[in-house]
Amino acid sequence: MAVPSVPDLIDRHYQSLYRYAFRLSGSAADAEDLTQETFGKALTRLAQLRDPERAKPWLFQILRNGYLHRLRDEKRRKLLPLDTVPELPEQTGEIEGIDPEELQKALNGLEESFRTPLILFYFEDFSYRDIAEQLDLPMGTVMSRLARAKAYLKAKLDPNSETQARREGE
Amino acid sequence: MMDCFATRTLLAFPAAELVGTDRAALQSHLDSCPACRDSHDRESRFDSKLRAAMIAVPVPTGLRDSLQRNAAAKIGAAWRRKTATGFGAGLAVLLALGLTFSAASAWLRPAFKLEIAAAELERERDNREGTVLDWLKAEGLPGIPADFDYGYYLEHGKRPLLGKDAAFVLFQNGPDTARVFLLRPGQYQFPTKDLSETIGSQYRFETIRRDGCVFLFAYSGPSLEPFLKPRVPLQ
Repeated sequence: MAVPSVPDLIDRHYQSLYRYAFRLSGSAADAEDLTQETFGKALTRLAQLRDPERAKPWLFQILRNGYLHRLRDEKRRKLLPLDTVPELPEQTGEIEGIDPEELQKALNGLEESFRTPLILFYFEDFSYRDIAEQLDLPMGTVMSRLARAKAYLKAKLDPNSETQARREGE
Repeated sequence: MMDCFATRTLLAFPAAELVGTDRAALQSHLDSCPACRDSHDRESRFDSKLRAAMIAVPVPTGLRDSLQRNAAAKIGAAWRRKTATGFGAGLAVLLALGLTFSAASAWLRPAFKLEIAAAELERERDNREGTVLDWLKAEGLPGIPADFDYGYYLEHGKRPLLGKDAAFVLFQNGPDTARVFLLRPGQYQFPTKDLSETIGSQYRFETIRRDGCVFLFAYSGPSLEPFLKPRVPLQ
């Protein structure tokens, strides 16, 4: 398979990358910047893409590195957000069962090391193995982080579901 | 034959990627155990809802054009600089190496192993207990006088309680939660009615005064027992 060009990569992956960036950062402006930055870096590093079929995880990895870099810079400068309520995109309707706004709030409360595997797993259908390779973690660590992060989200977003289900079953 | 404990452990992992005999054993248990099947169905429903909510992020119109414009500008600038002539050959070598590496790594990738995950969970459990103890120490607070199983730990921090910030550690086991507040003596004078209104009427409350601290346990469910480490019977 031939190495894709960056314009091709943009067409194929910009939507996924933007959504991933938004779920990571919780901000539409940051998500846009991160997406721009990612394709800018991809352009200069295209030769590092060893397997063209792995372009998507490669781009996701570049985006996450950029996000982590920003996080470190923000901590160094000790910047405090003016508004602690996460920015949300327009037209975000409530999904039956889970409100995307509540989901973002809950995600913002998770440590990055738990948030990222969770987003990758649920959002992009990456396998445990893909996530482990992308985050350079043992597969067992990815699995336990996913389990913990899912339990956290369940407690935040769906605290009564189990009790209710149990009652219904009685 | 898989039992209920192994099944529930497995169901804690989102959509576990089981293969072969593990998948068959799980299915066989689910077919014969209504409680685990209900659990499995609830997990699947939550997974679907979470997946749907996760992708509900509208992409700004114009983003694609803006990305393409920026890329075209950078490609043009790079083209004008005309870098090394051996670029094409180098790329071909890298590509060939990449394909070989990819094929080799696919061959060597480890399969899903429940025991790996279990060992990792055990390690994380110890880490969590250490993290919470370090945090309590940094806050000038003593350790919790109950042997909580940190496999059920969810989070710690401070939250308002009757108008003041109180340190807490939160555990969850299935549908039930236990929150331990660590209060300094004299910080509160609270009748149980106020607590029910603040924390929730579904909770039971217990207090212990020890090491210069009042520990307030607020838990749903019949007792704290499900959140504690199992006791090893004396031989």
